[in-house]
Amino acid sequence: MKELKSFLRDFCLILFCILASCVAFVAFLRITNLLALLGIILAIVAAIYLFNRVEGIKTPIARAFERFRKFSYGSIIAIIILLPFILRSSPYWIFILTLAVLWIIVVLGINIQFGSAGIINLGAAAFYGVGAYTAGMFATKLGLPPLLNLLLGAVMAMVVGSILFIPVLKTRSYYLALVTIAFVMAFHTLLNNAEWLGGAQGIVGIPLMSIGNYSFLQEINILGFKLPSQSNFYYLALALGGLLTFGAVRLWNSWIGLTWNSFNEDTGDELSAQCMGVAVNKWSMLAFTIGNFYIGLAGAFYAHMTTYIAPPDITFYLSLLFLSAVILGGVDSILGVSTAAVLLVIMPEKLRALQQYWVIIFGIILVLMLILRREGLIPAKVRTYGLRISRATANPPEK
Amino acid sequence: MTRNSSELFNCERLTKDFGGLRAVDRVDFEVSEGQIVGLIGPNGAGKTTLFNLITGVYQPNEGRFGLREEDLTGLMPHQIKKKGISRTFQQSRLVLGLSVYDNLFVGMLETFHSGFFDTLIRRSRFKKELTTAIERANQLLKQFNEELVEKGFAPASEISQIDRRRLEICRALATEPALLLLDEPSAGMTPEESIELMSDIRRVQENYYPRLSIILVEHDMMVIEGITDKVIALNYGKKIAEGTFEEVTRNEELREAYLGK
Ligand SMILES: Nc1ncnc2c1ncn2[C@@H]1O[C@H](COP(=O)(O)OP(=O)(O)OP(=O)(O)O)[C@@H](O)[C@H]1O
Ligand SMILES: [Mg+2]
Repeated sequence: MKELKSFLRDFCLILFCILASCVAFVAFLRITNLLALLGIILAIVAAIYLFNRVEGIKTPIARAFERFRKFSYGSIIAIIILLPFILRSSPYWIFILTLAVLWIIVVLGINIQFGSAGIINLGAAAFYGVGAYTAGMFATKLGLPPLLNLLLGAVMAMVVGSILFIPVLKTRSYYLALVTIAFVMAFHTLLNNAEWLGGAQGIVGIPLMSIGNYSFLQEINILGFKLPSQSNFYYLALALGGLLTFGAVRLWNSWIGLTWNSFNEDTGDELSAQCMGVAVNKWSMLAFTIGNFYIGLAGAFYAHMTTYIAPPDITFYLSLLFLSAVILGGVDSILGVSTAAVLLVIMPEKLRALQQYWVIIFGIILVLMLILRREGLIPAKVRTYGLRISRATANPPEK
Repeated sequence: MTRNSSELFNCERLTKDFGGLRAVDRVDFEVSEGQIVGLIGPNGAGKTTLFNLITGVYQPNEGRFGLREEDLTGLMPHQIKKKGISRTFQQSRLVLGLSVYDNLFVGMLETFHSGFFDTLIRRSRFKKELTTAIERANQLLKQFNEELVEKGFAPASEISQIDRRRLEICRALATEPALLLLDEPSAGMTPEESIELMSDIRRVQENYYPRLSIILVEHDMMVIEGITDKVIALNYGKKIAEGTFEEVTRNEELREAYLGK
C-alpha cells in the first residue's frame, strides 16, 4: 500500500514536471508581449534556481526521475516529436526550431573538439560554410541529390579541417586558435571574391531538400492534422540530430571520450597523458575531424533548407556564437551545450524588439555566467559509461 | 638482499643541457629486476630532468638508455610507456574533475581494444572491457587502501592528498610496467604521511609486484631509509655516489651538498 502510494506520487510528480516544462516552453514561444515574455523568462529562471538550491524540491524530483527514467526520456522525446503538431499554426517557429536542431549538431561537433579534447576551434563558421558551399555547388553544378550532398558537405569539412590541422599538430592550443580565426576570415574573403563560388551574391537557387521524389515543399497530412511544410525539415533534422547526439553520447561514454579528456588542458593534462601512453596528436586530429563532420553536415543541411548561401552567413562572429554555446552550456556536457544552442537560436528571435541590444545582453549574460557559474548551465557529470550507479558506490555492475 | 640480479634498466652517459646549464651530466647506472632504487640529491640536482629523459619527455643531448636488451633512446613518451616504463610526477597530475576510476583507466588505455564500431554500434566488447577494467581498478585500489574502492565514481578532487598520491601510483601501475619512476611521492605530505606512503610502496611491491623495479626520488634521505635496495645521489647533474643507503649517507661529497661546508 505504501509502495503504491509512493509510486503514484513519484509518477504524478514526473508527469507534472514534464507537462509544466512543455507548457512553459510553448507559452514562451507563443507569447509576443515583451513584458509577459520577460515574466515567463524570470519564472523559468526562478524555477531552475529553486530546483538547484532547495534540496526539498530537488531530491524528490531527482528520485522520481530516476525511478521513471525510461518513461521520462520517452515523454520528453515524444513531446519534441509532437512539437510541430502543437505549433502547426506558426510555421515560422517550426523553422526556427529546425535551425535550433542544426545548431545543436554544430555545437555537439564543437563540443567534441573543444569540450572533450580541448582543441579551440574559432573557425566553426568556416567549416559550416564549407559544408553549405559544398552542398550548394554539388547541387547546382552537378545536380546531385540533397541527401548525398549532406554527406559530401560533411566529408569536405572533415578533409579541409585535417589539412588545416596538420601544420599546427605540434603546437596546438593558441596557434590552432589563431589558424582557425585566420581560416574563417580568409574563407570569408575568398567567398566574396571567387566568381566560381558566386562571389558576393553567393549561391542562389539551391534545390530544396528532397528525398527521392518526396518534395519537402508539401504539407504533411497525418491523423487529420495538417502540418506545415516546414515540418519536413524539422523531422529530417531531428532524425539526423538524434543519430548524431546518440553518437556523441556513446563517444563520450567510452574510452574514446576518456582519452580526449585525458589530454584536454582544461580538464586534464597533456604531459601526463603522453606518459600514460596516449598518442595525443593522433587523438586530437580525430576529435577535430569528427567535430568538423558534424559542423559540415549542419551547414549542408542549412543550404538545402534556405536554398541560398552567401558570404555574410559565414563570419567570425558566428564562430564566436557557436563556441560560446559550448561555454555557456557547460564544457563537455552534451545536455548542457544542446540546451545552450537552442537558447541561442530562440532568444534573439524572441527578443526581436530589443534586437539592437541583443549583442550587449548576450555579452552580459556570458560574463555573468563566467563569474557566477563557470561550469555552465548544466555541468558535465562524472562518466559512468552507461552503468546506472548511484554516485560513490563502485561495485562491478550487475548484469 | 636476496634478489635475483638480472639487469633490467641501464643508462650510459645520459646528458641534458638547457642552454648553458648542464642539468644531467653523463649519468650511468643500472637497475636490476625487483630492485627499489632511491634517487636523492638537493634541489635542482637534476632528478626530475633525469626522469624526463628516461620517459622521453626530453631527448638527451648525449648518451643512451634501454630496457632489457632494447634501446629506447629517442622514442616518444607514449611509446616508452608501452615498452614498460611508467611514472608519476612531482606535482600531482591527476585529472581532478574526472572520477577516481577514470584516472585509473587513463593508465590502462593501452590495454583496451574496442574501436569505433564497438563504441558506436555494438557495445558488447566495450562492456566486457569495462567490467574487467573496473575489476582491475578495484584490485589496484585495494592494494593501497581498501576505502578507495568505495569512491570509484567520485571525482578525484574529493579524495585526500595522500590518497591522490596512491591513486597516481595505482595509475602508473595499472599496466604492470617493468620499471616504475616515482618523482618525490612524498612531496606535500606531512612526515607521518611520507613514512606511511613509503611503507605502502615497499609493501605493495613485495606482496604484489615482486619483479617490479622502482626508482624513487626523494630529497629527504631519511624518508627512504630501510625501503631501498640501492641509493644513487646526484648533485649538479652528476652522479656523486651509488651504493647501499649506509654507504651513500657516509659519503663526504654528499654531506657537503646537503649541509654545505
Ligand atoms: N625545461 C627546463 N628549462 C631550463 N632549465 C631547466 C628545465 N628543467 C629543469 N631545468 C633546470 O635544470 C636543473 C635541474 O632541475 P630538476 O628539476 O631536474 O631538479 P630536481 O633535482 O628535480 O630538483 P627538485 O628537488 O627541486 O625537484 C635546475 O637548475 C633547473 O632549473
Ligand atoms: Mg624535481
